[in-house]
Amino acid sequence: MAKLSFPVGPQHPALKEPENLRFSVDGELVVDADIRLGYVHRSIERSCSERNYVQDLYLCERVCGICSNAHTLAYCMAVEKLTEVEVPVRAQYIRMIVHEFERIHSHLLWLGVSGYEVGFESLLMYVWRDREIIQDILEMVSGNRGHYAMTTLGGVRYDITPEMEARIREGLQILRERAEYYADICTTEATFLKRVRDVGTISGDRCRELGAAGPTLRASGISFDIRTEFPYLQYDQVDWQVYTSELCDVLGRTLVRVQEVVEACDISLQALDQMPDGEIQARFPRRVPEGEATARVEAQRGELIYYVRSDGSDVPVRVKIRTPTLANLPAAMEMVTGGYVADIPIAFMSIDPCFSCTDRMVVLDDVGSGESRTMTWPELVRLGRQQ
Amino acid sequence: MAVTASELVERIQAEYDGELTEAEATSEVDAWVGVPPEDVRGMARFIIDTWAPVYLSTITGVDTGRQIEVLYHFVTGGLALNVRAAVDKGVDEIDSITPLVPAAVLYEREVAEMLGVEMIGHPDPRRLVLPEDWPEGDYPLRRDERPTDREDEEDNG
Amino acid sequence: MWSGVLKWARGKSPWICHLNCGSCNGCDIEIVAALMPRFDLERFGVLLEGSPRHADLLLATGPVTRQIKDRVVRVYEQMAEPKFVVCVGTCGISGSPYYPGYNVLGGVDAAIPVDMYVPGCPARPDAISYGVLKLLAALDPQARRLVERIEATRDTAGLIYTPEEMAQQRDHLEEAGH
Repeated sequence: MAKLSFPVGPQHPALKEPENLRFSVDGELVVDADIRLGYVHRSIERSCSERNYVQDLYLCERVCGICSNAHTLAYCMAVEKLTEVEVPVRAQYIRMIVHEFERIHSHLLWLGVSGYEVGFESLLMYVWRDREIIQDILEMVSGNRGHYAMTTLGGVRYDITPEMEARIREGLQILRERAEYYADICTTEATFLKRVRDVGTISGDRCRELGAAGPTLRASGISFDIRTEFPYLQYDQVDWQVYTSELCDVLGRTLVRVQEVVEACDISLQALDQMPDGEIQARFPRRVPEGEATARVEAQRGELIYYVRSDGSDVPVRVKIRTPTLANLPAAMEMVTGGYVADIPIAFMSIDPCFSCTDRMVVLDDVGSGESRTMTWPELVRLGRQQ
Repeated sequence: MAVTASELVERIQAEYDGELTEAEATSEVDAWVGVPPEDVRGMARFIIDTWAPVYLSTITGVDTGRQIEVLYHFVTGGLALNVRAAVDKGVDEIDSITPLVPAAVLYEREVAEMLGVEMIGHPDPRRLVLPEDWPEGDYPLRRDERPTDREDEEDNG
Repeated sequence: MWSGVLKWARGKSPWICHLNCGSCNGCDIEIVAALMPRFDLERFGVLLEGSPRHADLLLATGPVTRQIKDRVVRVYEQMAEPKFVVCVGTCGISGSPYYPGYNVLGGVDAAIPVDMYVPGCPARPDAISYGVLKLLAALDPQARRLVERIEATRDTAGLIYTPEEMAQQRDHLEEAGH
């Protein structure tokens, strides 16, 4: 049988990384996968070196609508390293709490969408209903459902009041129970297991070689988490553990993420207990001393690294952003290769590539050779559900 | 037994037999070393052999005026090891480390298209994020005068 | 007679298609959130459809990047008449904050005509629902009654903008020297 190649994308909602995927298939097996980025390239890195440090804060926040707080956090940490500003302890706790809230909302989002990709739509509906709890909490704390603008240079912008605290605790209790329920479903529901077990497998060593990050790496049995490698904020003050899974497949990634939701609830609750009173923002100089700094945080999808270089003025020379999805892409390509066409959606989804927004579509591509045909993403998803 | 960044730097100074243009620990976890651009692959080899498993976080390109600095951000055992190689403008090429570190494949493509540093020996030197109709020889993150800046903005609305 | 049936069907069950023109994902998630149990856009008969060829309504988010512009136009052309475009999010309106980056061309209307603007960064699911409902009001009497009731009881200023209102806003801004 002749080899077919078909493109998926480019219309794909992502942070800096929208994708046009091109798969070569031999019958039902994927023999090659390739990727073309750049559809959502918004020239952010260059714009960053044309605006001042405060303006960059808002720009960095808008790199991604899902992990926006992780971006501001990493950016602020890098600039604070340069200016040697000490962030008040209370602000650090609040940062940590919002950081974990974001992890909860993002992982729940992923769980729902991955349920959708395997044809488990009730999971999508249930999870997204529960996700509104954390969205409400975030809105209460920051005033917005996305792009919270909580983290600012030198601290955080809003305090968590005792009234808020009560409602947060209540919400987190519910979420924790729900997350445990989902963990139960994911390990016992036969239809779900059939679609995720031994799909998109990749070994831990290969993951490390390809530079994969976050849950993708941890689901292959490698305990690598920036929160323990380079402890930032107050992560060394709370009691928590890094979850890993030896399964190396989509199921493993699902379990790691669901466990991280539980863990995130616990971290936030502990942080609320331990949080001291005090200032939430330190004075921040207008100019940043000459120098360079890197900052790493563990965003939901993995390690997020910022590099900031300053020449002593109020505009940075260079802001470099490496988002976790970029790190995970080579691994994702490997996961898909060798598997079935019907497993492409869920295997590719399993790195959480910001593939989050329900439906993608295919624009017929002109590059294809005579025997190339195209397949729409919905068709692909349908195929995935028939499996 | 936690190793500090300064111990890391000392070990590089003692055991690495190539030329070092800088070697400094800027904090407890950040180490910076510099090598001439032609020695990048040797340095990468040395790091991999000495501290495996090593994790490459990313590669940054910075235009500093006369030179383009290519920075390799490695992580090993809770320490950040940053390697700097400054490429003169006009030379614009550096050895690719992808054959040694497969994780570098996308990062090197990004540096190549954004700053115009050719990666010699890269297995897949295509564009990564810039549009297909982007002019050749125009690198968005170079800080020189760029001929295509903003000119075509008008007719695109 | 057929046209009457068609109009009825369109008003009762508009199929929407979502298109990301370079957005950060914030609005895209809120679109999904609008379709999910809490806000439940589907109670108006809305169905999310993957293919633009089957859709009546295009929800476009984000600034139009250089590389995606042709694709946006092509997707729009693939839709059958009559078609409507709802532009979701502030960056879809003006391209801000990414504008003027070298790869950003401006708002969605730099590429295709827009029938309703929903501002916000990210736009709220309720505002998105309201924008879609307001478009439906032109087709469906029930939706119109609902919109009238909402407008009578709530302050809806600034939630959404029609193209005329958006043009006025832009004139104001221009006069103010922006």
